[in-house]
Amino acid sequence: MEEGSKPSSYVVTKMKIKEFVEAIGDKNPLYTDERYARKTRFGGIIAPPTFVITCNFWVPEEEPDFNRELGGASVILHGEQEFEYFQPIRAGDTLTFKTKVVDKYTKTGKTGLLNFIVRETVYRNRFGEKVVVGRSTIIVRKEG
Amino acid sequence: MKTVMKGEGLCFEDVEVGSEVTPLLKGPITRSQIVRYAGASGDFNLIHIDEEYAKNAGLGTVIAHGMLSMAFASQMMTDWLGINGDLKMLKVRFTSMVRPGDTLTFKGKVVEKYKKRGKNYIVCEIWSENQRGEKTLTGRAVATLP
Repeated sequence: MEEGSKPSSYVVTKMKIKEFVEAIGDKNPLYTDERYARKTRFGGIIAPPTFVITCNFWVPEEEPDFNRELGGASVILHGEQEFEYFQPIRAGDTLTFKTKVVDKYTKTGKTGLLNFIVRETVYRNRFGEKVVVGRSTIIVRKEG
Repeated sequence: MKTVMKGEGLCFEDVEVGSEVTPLLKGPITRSQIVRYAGASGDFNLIHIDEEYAKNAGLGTVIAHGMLSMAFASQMMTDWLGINGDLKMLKVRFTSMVRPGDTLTFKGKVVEKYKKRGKNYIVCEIWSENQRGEKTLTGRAVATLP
């Protein structure tokens, strides 16, 4: 539908993974214990499945923040989220990702018109291989 | 918390259509957990962290990030699947708001199992309920098992 953003990149660090799993309260040692993780088939620390969303909030300075672009919206709600996984998200990897709007529609809700925007983000590793594809549906409630 | 060690994970033959995913209890959700998630994820939307802003936006109180609930749903799946299972797809809809003080129970059941290109797939219906029995999240997960 639209050209989409310029690709951005994000380095998956062990500290960022640790911060994330502490926030969600997931004590799986695969995410924090290097000695344990190395002995598993993953060969090292990986990130939990929904960690990849943190990339989207890391907006390079030259890129306008998507939420700011929706100026005039009083409330932006997250309606739906989908992730398709092709391989694990590994600590130390650099993910390159690109987001584009793939659908837009309007529904009438209890509080008036609701605009739905579906954005798709493809995340690739440093070898250019697909790691995750994410689809977010956000609901924009207009002021007034 | 149950930790599944290598070699102890779930197998395809262990599950049948109708099998239950081991439920995961989370909460009560606190304001500090919501703020902590905002910091960890980078999602500083004011409806999650600023009470005054959330009130003015007509939400009553701050609400938890949908993605925090999705992280819990994914933890239920990965805890249950164990070290040898791989989550291939997770799709959720946020059906009602989660607020500070809420306790969430994540549940799921196997609705389909099949083999495709030498891999064993299971499909689960998943959902979460708050302390009033209202569904706050519904969705679907696809995983492979040895």
